[in-house]
Amino acid sequence: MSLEVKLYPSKPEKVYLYGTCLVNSFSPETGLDAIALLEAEGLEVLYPEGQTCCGQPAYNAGYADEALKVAQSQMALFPGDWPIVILSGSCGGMMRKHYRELAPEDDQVAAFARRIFEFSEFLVHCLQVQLVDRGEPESVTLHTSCSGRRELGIHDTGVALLSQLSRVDLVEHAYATECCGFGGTFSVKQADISSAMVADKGQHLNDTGCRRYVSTDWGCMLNINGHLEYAQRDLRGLHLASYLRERTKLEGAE
Amino acid sequence: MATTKAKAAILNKLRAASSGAVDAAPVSAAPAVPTLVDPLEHFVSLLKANHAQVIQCETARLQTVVTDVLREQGATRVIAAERVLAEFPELTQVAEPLPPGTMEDWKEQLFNEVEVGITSAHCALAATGTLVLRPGADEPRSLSLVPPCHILLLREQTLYNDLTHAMVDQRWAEQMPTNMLLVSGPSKTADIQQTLAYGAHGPRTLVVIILPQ
Amino acid sequence: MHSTPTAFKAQAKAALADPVIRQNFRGAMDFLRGKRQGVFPEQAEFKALQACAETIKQQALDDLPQLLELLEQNCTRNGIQVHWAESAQEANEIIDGLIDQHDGTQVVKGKSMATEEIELNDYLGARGKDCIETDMGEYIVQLAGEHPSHIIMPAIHKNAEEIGQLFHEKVAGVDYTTDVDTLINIGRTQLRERFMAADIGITGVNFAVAETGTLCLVENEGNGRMVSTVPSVHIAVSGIEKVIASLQDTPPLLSLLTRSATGQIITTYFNMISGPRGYGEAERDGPKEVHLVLIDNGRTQAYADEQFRKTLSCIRCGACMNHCPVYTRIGGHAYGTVYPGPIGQIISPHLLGLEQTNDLPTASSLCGACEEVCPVNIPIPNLLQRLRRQSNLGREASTGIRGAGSARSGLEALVWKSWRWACCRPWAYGVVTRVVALARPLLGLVKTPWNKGRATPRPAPKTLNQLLKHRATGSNRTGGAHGNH
Ligand code: SF4
Repeated sequence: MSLEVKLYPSKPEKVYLYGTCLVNSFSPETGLDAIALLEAEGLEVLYPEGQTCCGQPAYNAGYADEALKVAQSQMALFPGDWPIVILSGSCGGMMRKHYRELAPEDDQVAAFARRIFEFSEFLVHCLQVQLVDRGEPESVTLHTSCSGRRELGIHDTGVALLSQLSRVDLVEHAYATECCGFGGTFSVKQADISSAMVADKGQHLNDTGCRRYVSTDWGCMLNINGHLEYAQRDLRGLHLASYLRERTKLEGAE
Repeated sequence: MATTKAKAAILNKLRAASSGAVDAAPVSAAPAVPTLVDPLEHFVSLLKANHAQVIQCETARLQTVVTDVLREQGATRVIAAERVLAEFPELTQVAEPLPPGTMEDWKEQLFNEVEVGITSAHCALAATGTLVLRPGADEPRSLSLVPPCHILLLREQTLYNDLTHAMVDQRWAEQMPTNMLLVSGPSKTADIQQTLAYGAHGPRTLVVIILPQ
Repeated sequence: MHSTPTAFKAQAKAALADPVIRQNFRGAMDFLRGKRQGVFPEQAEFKALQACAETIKQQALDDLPQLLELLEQNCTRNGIQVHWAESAQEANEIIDGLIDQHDGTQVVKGKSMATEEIELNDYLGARGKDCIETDMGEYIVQLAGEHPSHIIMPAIHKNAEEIGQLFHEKVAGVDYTTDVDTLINIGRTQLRERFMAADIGITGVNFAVAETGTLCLVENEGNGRMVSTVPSVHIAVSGIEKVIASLQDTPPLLSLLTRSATGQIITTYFNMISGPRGYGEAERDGPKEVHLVLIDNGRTQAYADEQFRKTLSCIRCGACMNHCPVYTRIGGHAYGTVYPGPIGQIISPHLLGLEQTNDLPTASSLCGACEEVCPVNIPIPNLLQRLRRQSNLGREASTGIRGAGSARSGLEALVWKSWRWACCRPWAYGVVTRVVALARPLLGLVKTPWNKGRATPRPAPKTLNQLLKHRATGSNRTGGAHGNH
């Protein structure tokens, strides 16, 4: 694993938010919740227009040229020198790690990659947030995406945030480190294997007895929630940003 | 010959591809195996964990100890390496040398009749609970392999911390014998449903006798 | 019973539907993962050892042509005869020729993936020569008329009941039993006869040390020792990438291999063979001849590409398959290749060409579990992604990989082009996402492979981009769009 030592800046004045294509289309509340949390920490949140997709789907499918073009269009949206907070571990892995593989010679790409922070790591390492839990007692389990875990090393930050919630009991599910089976085009090209994997993941999450699970990746969650709905289970997942906002009962601007 | 042609073809392809400039990234030294506080104890406990029987005894008591082991095994046909018999003549009381000739002459006896083979250990490695065997003219390779029970005699002072230490200290690379062998327990397998079973093909029983100086 | 990589999807589907296979692999993988975990208590120590091993193998590859020549020189000096084979066919011919030369009738074999790769048993069988597998797992698999499903534990797909039944059916006079000691003892008894009678022994090689001309074999059972000690001819078969520079490279590699493979700090036997009987002193046993057959079989193709060269660092520990969520569910046979699992997915295209192995690079969620445990740090997910690229290439691109471009689908290429077009034009992307959002009630009606066990996700009525439309980049903190929520 080529986990670099990540240098975290101290708290900036402003941050960019990268919503990701899945949050944009499937869960815009995640974006609003993340903004509310960041603003509550006194940050100005910049949300540049023109955000589409980080390019990972094409990159994973083996269409690197297409991915590079899209990557370039996205990088151009973030001219300022502020950190870019991203609402997905796998898109974060794409932007931090794979952009540089697509353009290995380009120093600007490297500099861009260094500004990428996944939401939970930004909250923990740059903002050192202190969360006040205002919710009812609850058990919850955490699914960290594989890229988040292995490319960015953010499983710990998810745990750190949830552990701050005094009335939340964080339960680990069996095979927590095992993939949910999403994998982008894998879920379609190898649908049988993928659905066997998500069936197991759904089972293991469900076995915790929790009503909800938390994740920082909508890719995994579309997959897992899709399975849970199909299997007619009550368990559902929600994004860490939404969960934290709910627990801290932060009022937003809306 | 075809193989000469193949050799040239393979090497040519490799040469065409290898950058040529061998910009030797220095081999990051292997992290040193921690020096053990009590190597002997570590060694013994690992061997035992690996299902070997370990006996520490004074040289004077060797014959008695071996006799006890043989009785326990119910062994009647016992063969000791000549190297062992030369060093411990008293063992001729309980073990015989191999018949003369080469393996072709005594292979069937070794497979079908010999119950115990006694050989020497060249040295040992504490970190992994390992015995180093160095077969040769006076200690055939098969004697530590074919009989169902293998007794190994080890001098305590030949215990090294780990493989690298032994290899460097004794300068193995300068002259490797035709065969050198690390043994860390009796033969075993977990090929059936991950269940450990001893005596897969080699000795089922390994007895290590550690002698002082 | 012969599976093929071209039927990967069907084979995978069948395996997924087989509860015994599912249970056998899940149980075995859990066991092996646990064992490995137990011997790498500290990640820092693993990382240090891994860095060292990676450099050792990397350097050996950088110097590969020189090291192979040095290996040949030193082996020859030691009395080991070296043969070179460009293809599986050539390797088989060499081995068959050696057997004939010695009028060999009884051939025994130690566990060797290289000989599986060249399908030596079939080749010899077609020439009326029986080659008996002696590793317990391989023996079981051979009795069943199957192939190994794992590179370290060949019979891992069978449980004790299945093996008991197999022995009962195939070995004369054996009653059905599930007692593992009894079963192993049956195998032992059967095979001892074979060792004694054999005139040719064939093994693989774990490390070939150039500096000393030494062939190293790692094993627990002792069959490798039998095969390389008792018959009068020992033939060792090795891929060209097994060569390492010096004897001092072996301790870290050995330690990583056994710990990664089976969670042992060392195996029962580590056998270093530097010559036949009596080469130096008047020994009384050991093979009278030792031969080393060095095989290319697609390796020089991988070598020619800087990225794919890394696949040649592999020490065949099997940790990548043990930790692979796909392998864990479909088992080894579904891949239809000699080397299953992640390592098989990245090397089989070089051995067989991409035409036949197109499905393999797609059979991964790129979760990275394999890379995380690989003792020589092979970036498996990256290489899978690279192979996907290679198999999608258009005609215009030239590449050294056999069968590149063979999976190209005009439709898929068009989809990604259109996707790129839209993603680079926010207005167009906005139109598409808004249309999809409007069509949300209809989306559930479209059935795709995704719907195998999954409901279709529903887009939100409004996209985040719409909701934040007026949030100017930097000047307007609250943004008018929040009211839309
Ligand atoms: S690729 Fe790595 S983990 Fe897989 S078998 Fe090879 S060395 Fe082991």
